Amino acid sequence: MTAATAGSRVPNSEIVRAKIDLFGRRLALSAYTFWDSPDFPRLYREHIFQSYSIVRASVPLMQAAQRACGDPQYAGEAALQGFAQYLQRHVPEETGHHRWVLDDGEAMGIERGAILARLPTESVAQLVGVQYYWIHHYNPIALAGYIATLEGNPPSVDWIEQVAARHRLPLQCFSSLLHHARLDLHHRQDLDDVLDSLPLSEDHLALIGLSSLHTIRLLTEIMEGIAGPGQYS
Amino acid sequence: MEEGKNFKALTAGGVIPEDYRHLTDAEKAALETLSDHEVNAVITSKNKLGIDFFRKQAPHGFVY
Repeated sequence: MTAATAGSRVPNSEIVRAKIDLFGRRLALSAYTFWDSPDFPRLYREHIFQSYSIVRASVPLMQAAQRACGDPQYAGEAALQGFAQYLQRHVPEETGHHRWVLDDGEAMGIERGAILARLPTESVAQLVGVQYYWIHHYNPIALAGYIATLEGNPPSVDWIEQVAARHRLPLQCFSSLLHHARLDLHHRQDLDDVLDSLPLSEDHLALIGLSSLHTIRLLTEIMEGIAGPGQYS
Repeated sequence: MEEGKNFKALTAGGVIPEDYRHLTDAEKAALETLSDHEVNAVITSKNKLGIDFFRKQAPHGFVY
């Protein structure tokens, strides 16, 4: 499975998704513990705060990456120019999503001001911060790995409804997740189509992979901080 | 499918258990697409592949 083998090229998106699927399993185990916890309402309030800390950076990150792709050093790079066009489309699609998370916080009894004022954790700062580093000081294509990991596997509407019913919480508390359940499958396909259309080199795919792995590692740290590492039975 | 360079490195690095037999050929092929930097990142971050992590999976729910 190489990036480009004459006559048998594996799509870029398959390479990216395979890495995320392989190395996202510890995160998925901790997530299972989170959704199933008898202490879910308390844990979910913390999840909302962490989610807000992450999502508040989504549009600024894409704008930074889009600007970086416009740097003269990348003028002749078709992969980065294509990625910039994708970002230009995706920024308005993601604008305002942070407000849905604040709405969910209010529904769970957390004042918006309290979420905004609270100091984000180091884990989130590292999660987002490394993307800024790669965007500004190495190659903005790295952000594709971050986006692929965050948008790639949203909880389904059925899943959210079951969680709400199990923990006796109104669906109003899950508006952000319900929106993303409907949107992110399209966004995932859109990104996959873009990845498959771009002339990504092996170095590009390696950086996107590294970015995904780092995202998974920090999301795992954040999730285990909320729910613990999960049980293996 | 014979194990490749990365599979052996990840086994030596403690990511894949010794004599692990639960990876599909497609997953083994995916492992071989990892660059040296990615293999190093997986090992140094103490990532694990193993049957313990295959049960009870759920989406993380963090939004973008």
